[in-house]
Amino acid sequence: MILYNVRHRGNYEYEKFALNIFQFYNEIIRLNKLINETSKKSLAEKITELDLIIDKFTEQLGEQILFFKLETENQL
Amino acid sequence: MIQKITSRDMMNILVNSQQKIENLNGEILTIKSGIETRLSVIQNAQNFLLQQTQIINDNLIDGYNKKIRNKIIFAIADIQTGIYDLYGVTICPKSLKTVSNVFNLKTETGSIFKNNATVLINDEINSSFTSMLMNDSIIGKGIAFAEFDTPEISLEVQVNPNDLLGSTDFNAIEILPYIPGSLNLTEIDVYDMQGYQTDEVYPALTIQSNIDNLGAMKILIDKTRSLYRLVLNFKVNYRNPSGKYPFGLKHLFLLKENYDTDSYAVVKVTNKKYIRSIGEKIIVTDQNGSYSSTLQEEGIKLFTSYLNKNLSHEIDISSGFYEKIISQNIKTFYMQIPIDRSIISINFLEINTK
Repeated sequence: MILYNVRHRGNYEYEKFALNIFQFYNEIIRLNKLINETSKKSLAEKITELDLIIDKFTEQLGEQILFFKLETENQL
Repeated sequence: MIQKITSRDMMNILVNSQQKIENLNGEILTIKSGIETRLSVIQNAQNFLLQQTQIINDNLIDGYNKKIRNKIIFAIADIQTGIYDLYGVTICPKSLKTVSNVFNLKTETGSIFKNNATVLINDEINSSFTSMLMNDSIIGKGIAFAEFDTPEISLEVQVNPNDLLGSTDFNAIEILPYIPGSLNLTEIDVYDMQGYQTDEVYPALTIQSNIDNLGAMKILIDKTRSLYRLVLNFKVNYRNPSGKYPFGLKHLFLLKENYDTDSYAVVKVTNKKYIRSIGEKIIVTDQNGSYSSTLQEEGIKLFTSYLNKNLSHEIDISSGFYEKIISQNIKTFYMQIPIDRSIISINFLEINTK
C-alpha cells in the first residue's frame, strides 16, 4: 500500500506519481516502436543481404569451384 | 466517485514495461546470433575458397590437366539432348512430378513446415539444425551451420511417430551444403516405419556412399520408404584457420518423386587430337562414389554422328588387347548414357589419339 503525504506534498501527489508511471510506460512503448521501425528493420535488411551473399557462394561460386576441382583432380 | 487505479495496477504497468524490454532484448539477441552464424558461413566459405583456388592452381601447374582431358562432368558437359534433370553436380532421372516433401506441406499460399522431427548432431539434439528441413521459401528460415572440433559428423533426423502430420514416404534425398566440396558423405542409414513398429534395431537400408567433395546433389534410394529415422555420416575435409571443422546444410529435403524410367542423355565429347580408338574402361562417379566399370556394363553407346536429332555410326569399342581403330578422322563423338540414378562424372581411361 502506498501512503500519500498530502499535507506535506500537496493535493496532487497521487496524480504526479501516477503520471510518472504512465509517462515511463509511454516512453517504453515509444522506444519499442522506434526500435522496431528503424534498427530492427534495417537489421532484417542486412540479414537478407547476408543471405544473398551466402546463396551466391553456395549455389554459384562454390559450385563452380567444385566443378573445377572435380575436373582437375586425379582419379584413382 | 472518481475511480483511481490501484497500486496493483501501477505495478502491472511496470511489470508490462519490464516484459517489453526483456522481449526486445531477446529479439535483438536472436538477430545477433543470426548475423554471427551468417558471418561465420561467409568467413569459412571465403577461407575454403582461397584454399581451393591454391590447390587447383597447384594441380594445373603440376600438369594434372593432361590426365583429366577425358573426364566428363555432366553438370558442365555439352549435353545435346535427352530426358534428364540437372541438380547441382549431378545428372539425375527426369522428375515427372514431386509428389511430396516429407517436412514441407505445399499449399496455394506457399510451403508450410511440419515441425515434427528431431535433428541430432553427433547424438546430441540440435534445434538450430532443424531449419535445414524447412523449404527455402519459408520466411524466417534459420541457418543450420556450426563449427565442430572433430571432422566426423553424424547427422540424424528422427520423425516423431506420435505426431505424424501426413505420410513420411520418400524415395530421394536432396542435399545442399553451405560450402560445396568441403565434406565427404560416407554412409546413409534409413530406418523405416515398419522397422520402428517391429522394434527392428538395424537400418532397413544402408548406402555406403563414399562421395568425396559433396556438392548439391540428389540421391535416389532403391524404392519408396516411409521415414522413421535417417542417419547421414559426413567427414568434413576442410579445417579452418581456427582449427575447427565447419559444417552446415542449406537444406536437406526428403522427397517423393515420380521419375521417368527411360531417362537418358546424349553428351558431346570433344578431344583436341584425332581419335584412333576408344577403350571400354571407364571410372564412374555416382551417388555411391567412384568405381571402375566398362562402357558395356553401364549401357553406354558411342556414336560419331548426331544429325537432325539422330545418332548414327556407332563406334566399335576396343576391349582387352584388341584395338578397334575408328576409320574416320574424328575429334568429336557423342555418348548416349542411360540415367537411372544420380551420376556426377565419367572418366574415359583409354582414348588413344592419332
